[in-house]
Amino acid sequence: MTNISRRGLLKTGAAAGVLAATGMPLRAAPKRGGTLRLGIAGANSSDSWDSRTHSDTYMILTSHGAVFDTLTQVAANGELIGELAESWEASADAKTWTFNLRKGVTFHNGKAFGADDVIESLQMHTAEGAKSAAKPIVEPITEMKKMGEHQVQMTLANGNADFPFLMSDYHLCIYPAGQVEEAIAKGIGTGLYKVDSFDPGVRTTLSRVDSHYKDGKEGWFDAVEVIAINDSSARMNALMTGQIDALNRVDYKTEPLMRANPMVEIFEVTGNQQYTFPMLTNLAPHDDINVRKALKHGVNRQEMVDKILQGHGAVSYDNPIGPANQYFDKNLTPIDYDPDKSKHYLKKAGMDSLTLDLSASNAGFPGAVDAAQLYQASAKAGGININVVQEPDDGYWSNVWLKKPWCACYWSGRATEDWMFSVNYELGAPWNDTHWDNARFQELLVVARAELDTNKRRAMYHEMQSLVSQEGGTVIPMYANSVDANSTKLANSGNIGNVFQLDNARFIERWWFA
Amino acid sequence: MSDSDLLLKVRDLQIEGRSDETWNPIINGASFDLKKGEVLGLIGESGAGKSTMGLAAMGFTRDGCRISAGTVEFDGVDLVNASAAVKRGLLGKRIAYVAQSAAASFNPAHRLIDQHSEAPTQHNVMSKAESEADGRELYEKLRLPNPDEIGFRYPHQVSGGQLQRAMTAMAMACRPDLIIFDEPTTALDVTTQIEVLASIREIVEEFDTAAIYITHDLAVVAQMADKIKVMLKGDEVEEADTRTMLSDPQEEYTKSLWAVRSFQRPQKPAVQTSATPIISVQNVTAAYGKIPVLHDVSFDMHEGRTVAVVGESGSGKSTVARCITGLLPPKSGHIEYNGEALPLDYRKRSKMQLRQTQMIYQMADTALNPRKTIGELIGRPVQFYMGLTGKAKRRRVDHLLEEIELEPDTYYSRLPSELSGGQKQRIGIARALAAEPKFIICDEVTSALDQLVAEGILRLLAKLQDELGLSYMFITHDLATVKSIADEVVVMKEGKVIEQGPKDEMFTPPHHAYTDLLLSSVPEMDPDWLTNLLNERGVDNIGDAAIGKM
Amino acid sequence: MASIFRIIAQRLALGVLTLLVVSIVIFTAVNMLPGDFAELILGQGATPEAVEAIRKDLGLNEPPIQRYLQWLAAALQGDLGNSFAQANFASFAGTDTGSGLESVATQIAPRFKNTVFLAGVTAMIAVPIAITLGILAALYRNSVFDRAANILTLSSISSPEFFMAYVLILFLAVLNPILPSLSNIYDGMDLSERFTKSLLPALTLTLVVTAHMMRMTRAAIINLLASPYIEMARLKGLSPMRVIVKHALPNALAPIINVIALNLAYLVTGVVVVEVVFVYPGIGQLFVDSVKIRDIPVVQACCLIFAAAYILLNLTADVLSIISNPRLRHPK
Repeated sequence: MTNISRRGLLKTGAAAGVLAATGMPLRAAPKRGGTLRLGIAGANSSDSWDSRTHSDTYMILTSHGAVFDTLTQVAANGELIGELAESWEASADAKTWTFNLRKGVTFHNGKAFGADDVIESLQMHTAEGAKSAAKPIVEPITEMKKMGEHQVQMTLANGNADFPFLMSDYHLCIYPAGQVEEAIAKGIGTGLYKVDSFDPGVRTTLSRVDSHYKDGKEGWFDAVEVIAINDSSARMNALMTGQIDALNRVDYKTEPLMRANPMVEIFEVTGNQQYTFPMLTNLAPHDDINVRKALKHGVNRQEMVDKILQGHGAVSYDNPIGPANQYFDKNLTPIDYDPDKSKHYLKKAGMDSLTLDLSASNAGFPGAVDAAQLYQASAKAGGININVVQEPDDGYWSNVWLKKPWCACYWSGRATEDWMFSVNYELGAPWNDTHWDNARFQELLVVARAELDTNKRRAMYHEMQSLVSQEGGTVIPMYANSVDANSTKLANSGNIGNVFQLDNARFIERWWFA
Repeated sequence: MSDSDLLLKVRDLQIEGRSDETWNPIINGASFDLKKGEVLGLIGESGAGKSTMGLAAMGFTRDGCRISAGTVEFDGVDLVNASAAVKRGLLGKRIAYVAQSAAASFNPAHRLIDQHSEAPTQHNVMSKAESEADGRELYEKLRLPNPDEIGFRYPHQVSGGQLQRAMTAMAMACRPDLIIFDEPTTALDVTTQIEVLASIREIVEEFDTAAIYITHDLAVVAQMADKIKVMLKGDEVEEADTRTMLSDPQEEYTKSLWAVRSFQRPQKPAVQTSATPIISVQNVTAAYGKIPVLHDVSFDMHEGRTVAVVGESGSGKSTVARCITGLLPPKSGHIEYNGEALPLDYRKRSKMQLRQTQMIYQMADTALNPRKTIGELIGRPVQFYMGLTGKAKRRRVDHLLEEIELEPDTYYSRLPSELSGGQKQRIGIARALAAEPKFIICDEVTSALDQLVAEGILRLLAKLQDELGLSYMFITHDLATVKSIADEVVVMKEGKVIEQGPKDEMFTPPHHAYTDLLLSSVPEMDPDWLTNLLNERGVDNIGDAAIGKM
Repeated sequence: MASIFRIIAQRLALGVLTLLVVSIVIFTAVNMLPGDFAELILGQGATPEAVEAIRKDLGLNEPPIQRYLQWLAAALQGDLGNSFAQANFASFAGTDTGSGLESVATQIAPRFKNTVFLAGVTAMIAVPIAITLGILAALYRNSVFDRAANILTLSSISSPEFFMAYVLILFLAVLNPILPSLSNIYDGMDLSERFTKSLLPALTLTLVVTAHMMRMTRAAIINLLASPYIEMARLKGLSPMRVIVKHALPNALAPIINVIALNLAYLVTGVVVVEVVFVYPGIGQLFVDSVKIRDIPVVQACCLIFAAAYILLNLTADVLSIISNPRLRHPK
């Protein structure tokens, strides 16, 4: 990821075109042509074009990354730029946001794009009976006003400086108003690619629309075939035998083999995905901060990265904010592996030694059981006896996570600090998996949300990261990279997004055949 | 003998069979010549190597056998060293084979005529149409019924005697110079056998075909062969022309073979009419499902005597035995034991009643559990019926082994597989005796045995009868056996009793026509017997053909 | 011949009973697995409220017996219901997916068609090869050829399917790129391309099933070679090939037909691993996916298809072996 500031302008955003004109690195110029064939893991036979249900790579990639557009998008370099919105502006309290929509855009069925489409598409997420994963984003919008054919004003219940960022969420695809059902059935969006065929869980074929507002900037392939390949060996084989041009989720074990193949390139980014060991801090002994500190010093983080991720990741100091986040604090005080410190904190907690259960299953994260055993071995020297309880994969999320005092878990991370903290650390949130009750942290969470000043926000988010790192209830030993691979026939701009797999799931739009 | 007449020359033929990783001799050097049109009878007990010899004469050995030395020369061709292709050119075309069981040797999947025409067409002797027409002619010559139509049947649709003739016709299809007949009539009833014999002899004479006729039945070979060769356990015993061999056998073994027929029990005095029979079969009618098999069958059996029940296959002999033992409860009629009616179903009989009636089977092999030792096999009924255990049981088993003339210490712990056929049959007898019965049913107990061995069993049964006062019901189709052991004879046909009475009466004319036919169909040791019979009655009045006219 | 129809009728009746038992067993078994559809589809997002909502929408709160009887009543009228995934989606989105795959039947049909196609291609390759190899092995028994065929087929049968698949991929797709390792066939593909794409999985399955059929053919024929009519055929001077093909084979058909039927049934029901490795969109993948999320209507329908395939193929085999027996074809 680039270290340039992600948002020069916070209060207002500008269209991609402005930046693209200057931001293009010195590389061979992209050119049109060819059929891109992708082998993608994360497909299901229940897949559909309803973006409210999207949760796995296959649909995220084909839907918001090709067929549909959202109001805003995160560029490869981390910049937030407009997609269907050309620009946006906030009120001083960050409560009212006005989006100026792009003109002259049409849906694949010929319908012209306008304010109604935005309003109706966002309302889908709060409709009666709809259980959209993006409901928490849309729900705070108290009013959506059509200011003109190409302008929408949204009013929030509370100020939120990240609001334009949230509008880039892959659930928030824009559908044609009045034709939503048809659009979901057939996949009718405003994206660069229209749907030719769609066989859920099996295969999708797309073709380039004739003319598009991104012409000349993105959308180089003439056609795209997205093949669902959930089996990792089959995926690797398909790439190495030239039957596909790119794939996601490279198996760590076969990664050296692929690297050795001159026809194949690996592209790897460290994003926000993290493997965690949350403890319920409202239960003994985890309610004692000294016990938590003892446990934090009992894990050898580098060893986990080396052995569990085979080096495809980075050490985390129990920080749920990742390198892909804007205010990621990379200078957080390290929490070293030190048995003496473990002993020290145990003593402070009034214990000579500590015996406790750690529930793990590979449903928690790939290699979770091995990781738990590494933890067990490293913690022993500090007087902590971890008893690894191997749980069944089935029903893990219902029966173990949020229920057992300490277990293995993963988070793919969120695009903004506020979002991640709100989901995982705000008191009362359903997925708060630690029940960590820190008054300062909760206060900062609310204040930072509405703060538009970048420097102030940075300070607040750094303080929150420090708090959660030092005192929080989750041991987060590592960030796991997303490792994808492509044929050397393909080329890209030189910037690869790290918010999500496959260049922020916009591989189809951004890459081309060299 | 001029060399030009010589068809087959066998010299010092040695054949080995492979078992337990070693080659063991089967034939230890045999030599013979066969002229064109000549018939050689090859005779011996089972295991003598007759069939192996017969096949070797075709240059053929079964899997696991090999010709280790000697020569087989057919019309100048060395069959031992000839290539497979050369041999295939001769087999079926110039040398043909007629197997013991036509039912098993016809392929069940193809029609008779298709199998018939296979050799001529494959050897390019005739076209398919020609050979089919020829087949019909041969069927007619062999007096098969409906010769135009019978070829279109499948083997299972044709009776055993007819199949045997169809196979002879098939062997003749290419008009071979030599046919090997391997016990072609052994599996047939006597009345069927005589017809087949007549047919074979006629057609062999007509086409001047040389033949090797393999059999264990001396009387049969006497009818068919110009000369006879006797074999014993792979060794040649002697060879001579038929009449010389019959009248003047040189070797002891040959003489003993000839002497088998001499065993005959003296006739016992007639039974007192007032005596209570030990088993009385009264007006028994029985059926398998809806198919009736016995019609109003009645006869008595008395203490210490042997009743032979004779008849051809399907006559109901064995069904009577099943009714007596209660395995097949009759539809009507009843069975009395010592004047008391027995429950018809064996499941309703008391242990005492069950004990009194025992059975010995034809196939001693299948009746014995191969995993149990002899001691266990005999010990089981001793314990079950007599309630003996431990040392008493052992003593009783030893005693029974002595009774059947097997050394107890040697045989007690052996397995059935370590015994010969005759010994196994003796174990069967001992098991029956274990229950100390009064009455034993012997179902074809000597049919599967060689004559000398069979004779031993008959002598043993006679001895036991004298010592223990046993009564036997002797089911057999072999009239020679009847002659040697029976006191009374019951003749059955198609589920009915045709005739019954003391043996001497039964073997003295006048008979019932069927009994007469049955008796006259048993080949005799006279080489002219078949010729005389045919001259006397005509070819259409022997065997099954005669039965059809009754 | 009348008895054949009686046998068919009896076996079909028994088959229906078997299907009923299968459906009960499967329903019970899936219900006994830990976790239900609601928990598994939600995964990490399984808050008690969400789980409860889905259960309510799908009727999963009702007692299992009642759910089974409802399913059975519908199934008896030919309605296999909607998959939980689809039903959940409909309640989620307030609309159906519009993909035309609402009911279990429409969801399974194309997958089953693909599986049958793969089974068909495999059978077309495997059956002639197996029988030919079996005949040759019987003909040249104990020869070098026989031993080599034995070793090859035994090692292919005792290697896991995925291993065979990868070996074939290595040799036929990676080292010598002759065939595609990706068998993503789809509707509208022309037949020759469909065939080419299905070839590697078909070859893998061929390696797996050929051994069984070949050895049975060999054994059935060798078993008959000791019979008198084979000896008679050889004594007629027929060539060894003719002896085996004309005389042994017709009588060895019953066991061969049975083993072929068994392997065909396996090809329809047991090819999950191969489908996964080659990304072949067959019914096996759908079945495994459905078991994973406890989508009972789909699992039930798949199992019924599997059981019916076994029943029908075995019945066909029995009828064919009866017909292949001349004693029954031509009664006295």
